[in-house]
Amino acid sequence: MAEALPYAAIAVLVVGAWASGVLLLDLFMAADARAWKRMTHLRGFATRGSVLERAARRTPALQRVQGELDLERLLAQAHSENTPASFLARTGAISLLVFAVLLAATGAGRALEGQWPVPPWSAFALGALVIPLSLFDLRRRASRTQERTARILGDALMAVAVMTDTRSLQLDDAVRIMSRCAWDDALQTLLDRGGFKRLARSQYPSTSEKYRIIGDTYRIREFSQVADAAGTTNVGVPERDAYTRLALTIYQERLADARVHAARARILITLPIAGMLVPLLMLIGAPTFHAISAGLGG
Amino acid sequence: MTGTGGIPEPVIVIAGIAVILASGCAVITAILGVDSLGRGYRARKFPLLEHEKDVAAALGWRWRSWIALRAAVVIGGVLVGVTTQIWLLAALLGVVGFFGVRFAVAGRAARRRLRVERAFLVQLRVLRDRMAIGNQSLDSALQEVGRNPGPELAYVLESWARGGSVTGNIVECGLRSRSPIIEHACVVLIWARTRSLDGLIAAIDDVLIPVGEAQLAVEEESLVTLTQQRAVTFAMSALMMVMFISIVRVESFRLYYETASGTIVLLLAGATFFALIAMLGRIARVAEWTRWDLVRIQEQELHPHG
Repeated sequence: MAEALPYAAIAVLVVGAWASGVLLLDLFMAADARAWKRMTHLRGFATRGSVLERAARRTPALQRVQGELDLERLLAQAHSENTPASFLARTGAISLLVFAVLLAATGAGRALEGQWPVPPWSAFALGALVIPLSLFDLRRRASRTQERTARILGDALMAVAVMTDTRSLQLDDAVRIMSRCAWDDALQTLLDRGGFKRLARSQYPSTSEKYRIIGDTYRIREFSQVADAAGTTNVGVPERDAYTRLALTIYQERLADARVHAARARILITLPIAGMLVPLLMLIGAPTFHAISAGLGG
Repeated sequence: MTGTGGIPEPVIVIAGIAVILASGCAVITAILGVDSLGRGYRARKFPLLEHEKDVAAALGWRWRSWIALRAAVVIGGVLVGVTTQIWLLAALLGVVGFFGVRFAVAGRAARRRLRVERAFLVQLRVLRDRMAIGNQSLDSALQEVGRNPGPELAYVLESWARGGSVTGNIVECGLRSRSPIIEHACVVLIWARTRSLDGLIAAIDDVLIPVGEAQLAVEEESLVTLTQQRAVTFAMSALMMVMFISIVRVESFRLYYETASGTIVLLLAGATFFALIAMLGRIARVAEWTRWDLVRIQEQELHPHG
């Protein structure tokens, strides 16, 4: 039975390759339908897409995975100058290097002791672990940069309200000036140094439209809120009132978040308290265990 | 089949191929682009150093006194550790001394900073009243406020009493405070300062005071979270210390912890303890604020389109 398994696996692979080829070449599609599809592609109209694409569009979980692993978006959100290709090459280099070093170390261990200190496949497993860890780190950096950018924009609004009112500066100029004066350069990188052009490629007729596009593409809600406030100034609401109210709203939200966080912390704080048992047991248990095992050993 | 030094040949071949591929990937990375890791804080700011200066300012201490205290506690911790003859404990007490002092005074620093921020908001109202009701100009109102700042703000508002450049004095007040909320208010004062006093009064009424109160409410909530976090950490540390002292007093246990395996256990227990403290810090995280470079604000105010 076990001997037949490799043949069965090969048969499955061959059948799979054949089915994929048939699907890719559209062999079962009528010739005129294929011609229409080609014309649609040439004219740039949206098509139904392949079976897999349609399935992905209908499955929210798959869409989420696709969205979360969108390297171009994640790198732009993290304000990284890496391209997806260079990020993958760098991750590959680190992964291979970890694999090589660990494999050499285990090989050296075998040469010294006569047996493998750890199974050789563990080097491969740890090398492969670098890839998900890199992605995790990139996602963390992207999320942290989003938070920092949103915080600077929210904190700049009070000054923006005054600058647009008493100094008659334009909204975008005021925000860019403030971004240059923050200790953290996250907002300056995005706005003043033109970092937003990486994802927000479409044309914008006004500042509010520009901020709306940045808010949507970089998923920073504060930009959309500033765009909305800028929209209200176009219909006669004074700029100082509009941006001050927005600043107040943002601080109210932060206060609500802080309260929710404090309430949750009261419950979650029991976890590290319970965890304190571990080092205490280690401190008492280790010498006791050592003494018992020494006594039994005679 | 063994190669050089008894290492199996397949291992050498596979590791060599992996190194070659890794080098190739590294070259591709260098050609395609360079990551900008480490960007965030501007080059001239060192977050750790700035944080230490913030704590010293929040305590109302001079920077040098604060550093002297930190150094004294670290040396004291190491000396106490040396007297126990457990070398790892000397290093551990040194580390605890380095981080522990900041942690021990963090609550006091946060409470004092909040008091200073509240007092600053009160002084802003006084400034507004002097201009709106007393018909004083901004520089004379600032001087009057600077002369009677109250005990909390004596150092922060000292520059206002001097006279001279109004913007320079506001910048110095913000720099001395090292408080995000006061810095923020100073930024608004710099931009709101125009030839017309009405604009400034309106900015204080409509923007600075309501938003400042909202910021203080967030800060107060953060202080509640910080107090919780610190209370639990103190309880855990006390428990750990009592347990450790009790164990070290027993002769057999002390002998065990002088051995190599005992040292490893001690290291593991210490690492677990610090990991739990770090976990606590993540659970009870307080709100962060944007910090503004007031000197740069002053430059930008002079040349907004520069």
